[in-house]
Amino acid sequence: MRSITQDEPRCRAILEALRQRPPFLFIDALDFRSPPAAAVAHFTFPEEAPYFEGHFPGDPVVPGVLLVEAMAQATRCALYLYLGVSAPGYLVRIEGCRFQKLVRPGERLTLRATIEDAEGLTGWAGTTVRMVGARCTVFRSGKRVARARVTLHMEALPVPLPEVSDTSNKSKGG
Amino acid sequence: MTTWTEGAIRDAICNTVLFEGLELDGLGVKLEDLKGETMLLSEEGLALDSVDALEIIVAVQKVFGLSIPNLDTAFFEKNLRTVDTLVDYVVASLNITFETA
Amino acid sequence: MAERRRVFAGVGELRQKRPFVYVDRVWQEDDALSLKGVVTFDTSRERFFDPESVPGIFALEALAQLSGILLLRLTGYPRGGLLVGLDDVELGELRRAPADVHLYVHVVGLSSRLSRLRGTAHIDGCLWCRALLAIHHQYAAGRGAFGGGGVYEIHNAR
Repeated sequence: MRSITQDEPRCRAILEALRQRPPFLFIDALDFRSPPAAAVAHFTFPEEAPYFEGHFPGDPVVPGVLLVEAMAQATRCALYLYLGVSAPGYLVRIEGCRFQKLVRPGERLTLRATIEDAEGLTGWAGTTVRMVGARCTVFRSGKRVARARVTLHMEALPVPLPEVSDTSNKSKGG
Repeated sequence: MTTWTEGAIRDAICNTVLFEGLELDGLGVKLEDLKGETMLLSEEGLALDSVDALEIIVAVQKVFGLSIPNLDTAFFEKNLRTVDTLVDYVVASLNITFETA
Repeated sequence: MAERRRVFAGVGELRQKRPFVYVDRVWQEDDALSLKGVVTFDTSRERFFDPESVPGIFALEALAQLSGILLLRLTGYPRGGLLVGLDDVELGELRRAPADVHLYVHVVGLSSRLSRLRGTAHIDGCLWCRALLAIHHQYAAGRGAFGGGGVYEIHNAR
């Protein structure tokens, strides 16, 4: 499974569509062939991120709420990849969120977001997206470290997505 | 009040407490994989962690109406060793309740 | 009516330090199992990343930290514990700084290893976030009001 990283046009276009920017962008690679209606994304929290100075001094731990945000961003990637929808949105519900292991900066994480209960998705034209639910899991070296069921409220803007010519033949592991 | 049989307790533990409660399908575990001898916390079994263990206890309390006061390491090691030991714990706890009612 | 302020453990006792502190003031009223606080969303990018649109997850972190302070007061466990679970969370739309977010948490279950609290966050009198939080006392040392090997348990879901 080939991962596309943020220096490839397709990944760049997807991440641009998310609108978040570092240090509040928590995805840096996407698996090009993820399961249907899902996304498999990757991220490494950078050790130099300013929030680690306070969480915690001398003992950096990724804050759980930032893992939740990462899961929400992975969900938006899933929407873009498979349903052709990109629109501004925000997290409105969380259920069954569990932080099972401490996550440290520098650890490579895999985020899996599977779309469920999407309402009124119609694809590129005339999007009427409202609420999108997803089951998300975060793995580290194949072990589950966090999970949640998230619901995003998507603003129904028929945003035309930029054309992307994927001329890159690079293959980078995630 | 529900009248629990051992079979119903086992079903509730496997289905509601473990499979659904811990979202084990996300770990690639199927419901039919949960046998009596399936180890819960050990790496040789489901390799559940301390947060999962607490989740199991909260779910057991809710599903069976139990109160579990002494949550120490010995408790987890004894009663959450396998599916069978957890079933045995709940069966014993519910029997005690009935006897003193 | 003037609020009584008895700050025994406060923000300074949290493990979290700037810039990742999301409770600015706390105060406790009559009920020992609840705590109120406030955090001001300001234009600090260090704390809020994008002050033009602050997402609800920062309210969740604020509620978690307020819960940590309350648990410090109740149990004496050092550093309050770690957030291990979130349920029944509802979040409002993104907000722009400045905004005062009024926080409230109360305990619905307490044991030696896991506590559950319900929390709400309001802005301008409107509910912006609510959550059921589970806090694991990772650093439980058996000291404080409920230490010594015994376990004090409250089951009082509200």
